[in-house]
Amino acid sequence: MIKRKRKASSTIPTTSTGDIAFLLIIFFMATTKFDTKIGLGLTLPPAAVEGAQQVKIAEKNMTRIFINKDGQFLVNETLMTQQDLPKLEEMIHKSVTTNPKMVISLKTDREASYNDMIMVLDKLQKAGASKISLSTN
Amino acid sequence: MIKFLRKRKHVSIPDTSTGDIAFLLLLFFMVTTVFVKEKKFWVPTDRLPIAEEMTKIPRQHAATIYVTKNEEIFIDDFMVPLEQVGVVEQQKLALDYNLVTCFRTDRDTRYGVMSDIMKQMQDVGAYKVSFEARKKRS
Repeated sequence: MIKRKRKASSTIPTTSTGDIAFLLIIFFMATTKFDTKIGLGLTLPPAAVEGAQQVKIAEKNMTRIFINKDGQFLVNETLMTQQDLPKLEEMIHKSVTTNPKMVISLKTDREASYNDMIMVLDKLQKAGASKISLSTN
Repeated sequence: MIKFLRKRKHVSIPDTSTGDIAFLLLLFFMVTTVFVKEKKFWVPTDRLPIAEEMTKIPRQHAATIYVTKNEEIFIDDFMVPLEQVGVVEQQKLALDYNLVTCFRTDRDTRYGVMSDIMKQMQDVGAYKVSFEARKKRS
């Protein structure tokens, strides 16, 4: 009678897979940086082309805001400072709700701080203004 | 003296599934991780202006332009001269039509440089912009 040879069991040892996986997790957890981008969104108008027909906006549908280099805002000939920003928001909200065609022209001095422009833009967006035009002098 | 020897029950926490759990977590991290293109944040978060009304920017369409206080412009870790911003933006726009240009600008930067950059972007047709800011804590 021939005796069969016992087959040696061939298995891959899996005891350390957990350790390896945890090591990889630690690597990813240490290197991952949560970088969610948030900001004030805006769509710029197309560049003005010479000879193109220009759309005129009626004065009643326009609110002009001018920011100077000293951080002061001129809103339809009313001078405001940073302390008056809540008042500006209220004012814009009122004008936008009463006249949905209202266009806000935000003109910023070249020497003015970027921070001042963002502060005003933030208040405009918070007030619900959707038609905002950015320009400089 | 009679000694009662109780056989102790072997108590152990089953650890067969730790590998599976770990791999699940690993897969989660591997799927959600997005590698940033820039090696350096040229404008740190604490130098950004503060705002309240902000929206999330879709990361896959976002291209960041860093503008430092000294009016240096960086795109993808390279310093770009002001007059070349339009060219770079045009190349990016060709790759992704839904491109959103995110300005990561130092709050003390002069507005003039921002205006010049936006003018160039308008010329090449990159109209969607976003001004990165910090969330105002109430």
